[in-house]
Amino acid sequence: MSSNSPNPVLYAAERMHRLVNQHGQFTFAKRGHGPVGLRLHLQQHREVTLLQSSTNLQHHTSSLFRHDSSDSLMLLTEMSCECTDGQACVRGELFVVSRSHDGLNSAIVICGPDVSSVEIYLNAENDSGAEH
Amino acid sequence: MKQSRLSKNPRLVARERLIEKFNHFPEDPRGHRHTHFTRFADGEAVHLQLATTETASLLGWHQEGQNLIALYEYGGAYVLFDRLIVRDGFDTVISIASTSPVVLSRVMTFLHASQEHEPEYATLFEVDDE
Repeated sequence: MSSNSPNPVLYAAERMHRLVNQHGQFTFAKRGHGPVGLRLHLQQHREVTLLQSSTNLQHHTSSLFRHDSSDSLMLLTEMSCECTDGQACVRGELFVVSRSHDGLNSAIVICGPDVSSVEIYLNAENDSGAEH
Repeated sequence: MKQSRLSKNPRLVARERLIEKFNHFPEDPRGHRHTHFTRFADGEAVHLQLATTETASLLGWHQEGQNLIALYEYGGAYVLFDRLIVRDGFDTVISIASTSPVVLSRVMTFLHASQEHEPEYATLFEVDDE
């Protein structure tokens, strides 16, 4: 592929990330195992709409959801990997972004008890541009 | 062909034009967009499936030797067939874009039907984007 051609795989990923990054100032992120269950949970939730999704050549899946009532965006990325015991497993990354702290909190609640599991870190900044 | 200093190489332009068209697949007003990228074990069978199906429209194609890129519209989705010659044969990447996961699934089912055996992904190497 020529250097001037936008690779469709990269284009799809970058486009989705750009949408999320531009959506708000209040963010939440976590990593953990079992993202497939979370994806199915979000797909079936009444207040959540699947806006975009993409599966790349490594079969990694990115799903972009919108929590309608809070107008928050949730980006869930699933990556196949090998665990320490050599077994294949799937790791996930969840990123939630909202225009308000309340909106962020209500979107996080939608994600269920799974979000309280492992490696949670919360970044919330206001519009004045407070640092993380 | 000697390349002009004022314009891009026509073969690159032709290729980029098709990729651009795929990347800017018309979304619905709500911004729904679903993409799937994959390699099939038998990429040529996929191409044959697309080329011989009456309901698939060929929107554009560019061939340079055995390198071939073709953009199809099938069932409301865009399918980009991209075959490149590599050291050990061909590397064929199929890209699909649609506004709904249901349509995406239908197209995948249609393409998988071209495979002689159970769907089996060929593992080659990463596409060099440099």
